[in-house]
Amino acid sequence: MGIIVSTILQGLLWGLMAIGVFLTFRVLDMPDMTAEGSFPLGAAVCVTLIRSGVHPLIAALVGGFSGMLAGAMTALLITKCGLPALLAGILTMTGLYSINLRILGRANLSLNGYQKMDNLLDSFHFPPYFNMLFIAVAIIGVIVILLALLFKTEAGQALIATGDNEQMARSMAINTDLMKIYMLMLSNGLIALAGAFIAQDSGYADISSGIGTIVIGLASVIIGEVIFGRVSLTYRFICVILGSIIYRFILMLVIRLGLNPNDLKLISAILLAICLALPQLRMKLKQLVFLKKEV
Amino acid sequence: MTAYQFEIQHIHQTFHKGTANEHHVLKGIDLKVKKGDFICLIGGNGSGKSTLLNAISGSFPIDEGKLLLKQKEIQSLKEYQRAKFIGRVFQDPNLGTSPRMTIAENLSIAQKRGAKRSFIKRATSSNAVKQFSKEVEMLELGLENRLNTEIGLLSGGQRQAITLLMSVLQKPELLLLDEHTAALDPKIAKFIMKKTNELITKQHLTAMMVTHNLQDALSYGNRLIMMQAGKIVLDLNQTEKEKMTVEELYQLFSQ
Repeated sequence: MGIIVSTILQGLLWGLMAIGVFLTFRVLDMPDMTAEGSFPLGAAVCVTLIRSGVHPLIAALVGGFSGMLAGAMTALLITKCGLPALLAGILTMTGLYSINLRILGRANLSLNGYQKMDNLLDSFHFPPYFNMLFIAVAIIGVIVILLALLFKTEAGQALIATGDNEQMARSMAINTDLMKIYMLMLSNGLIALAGAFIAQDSGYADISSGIGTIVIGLASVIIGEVIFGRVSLTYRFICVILGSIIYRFILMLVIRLGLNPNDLKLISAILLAICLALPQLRMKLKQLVFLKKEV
Repeated sequence: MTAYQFEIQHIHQTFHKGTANEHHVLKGIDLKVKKGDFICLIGGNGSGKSTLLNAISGSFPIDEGKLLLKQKEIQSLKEYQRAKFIGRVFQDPNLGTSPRMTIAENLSIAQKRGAKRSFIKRATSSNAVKQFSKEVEMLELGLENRLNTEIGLLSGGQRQAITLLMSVLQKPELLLLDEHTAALDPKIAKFIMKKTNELITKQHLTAMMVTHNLQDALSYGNRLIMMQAGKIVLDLNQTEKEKMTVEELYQLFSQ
């Protein structure tokens, strides 16, 4: 029971990060590597603030805000300096490594003995993991609702149009550069917020925790797409979270099967590569069957 | 002094300057456009007609010259800023619409062209959808019943019809049509051309249309301009245009 609740909780928290990745990779159609730096940035800022006595919720929010700044940095490199999106993200991510080290002061900083978000519900005496689960459901629920509403507004539609057809957006007087800045800030803000929540949940911030965030995020997005198919944007957000939870269950099973946790990143990468290659492989298979029939 | 709706003053444009591929595409274009003018622009491939249209809409900053829209200089404005006053329809039907958004959502984007886009107000309110339904009905394609269909699922012709509607939903000071029927089958091309003419006449729009169809160039509009090697070589008014036949025009065209 405990392991299932904790897996769902992990899925929810990482799902928030995956939504951030979804916003850039899918909605904006831009591969943004900043995530690998903004995720540990949120964690580092949050943990450092908690250790200096800041309320855990405020610390998490400030962590999220720091991610927005990181996103803005990448966006400025892309829109004002004309860098390719991939390179701009890698530059910010690399720079953030040093910044994160500066904030943490060392590679790993623990929250042992400090007040964390889940301690806020201690007086209710829920079973283990449930404190954080309730908090996560509430916060992520609110965020998903706000996102769904945002993308239905006039400005939200302009954000979608920028990712869908930039030429059309510009010819409709949409400032596409500004839209990209907004989207990268929103995306990295959510990713850093997730980093802050996950740091509080695991009880520490680690300089290398950002490695693989893109793969985890994309895997959640793709699993959601493969299982739930083509749905409207509002449901896509929920599918990404569900995809993230399923991904956590797959990882749990893999560990249960006795595989070395050190191999997890490799397994994740292979899993994602298979998922991404699936449509192409299916086509090849069809051609193969077709050719055989011809002969 | 007559106030012109739109003026082009001595535009020059060279691509790949200082390289072996240097190409002087526009060689001093001057043009005065009156309000309500519907200009057909013809010319061979590489004559610079599309470049001229792109220079007006701001796809690239021009090397030299001025663009005056209602006496205001627009040549230093960015593409999205000029789009507040300029409506466009492209040759490629995929360029003018957002494929993953529905017909209604695309129209709502167009309805807000040049206006402030709110972070609070819902884009496709029921009132707006009612209005879109009426506008789309005018296209006579039955699309008014498919307002919630994603544009990506429509045919090229249907998409181009929606793009045309989107370009005039907010009345533009200048409408630019870049071979907007060239990628369509003859039947739908004729239909889109007819609708274009209807919209321009009904709303008294000022328009410039690039076309390779000499018959269209003679049948539509009140002025005909021919470009060759980056220059305007022929400028016919309504009466001169009416006297011209396709054969005569073809003779001039092939010179």
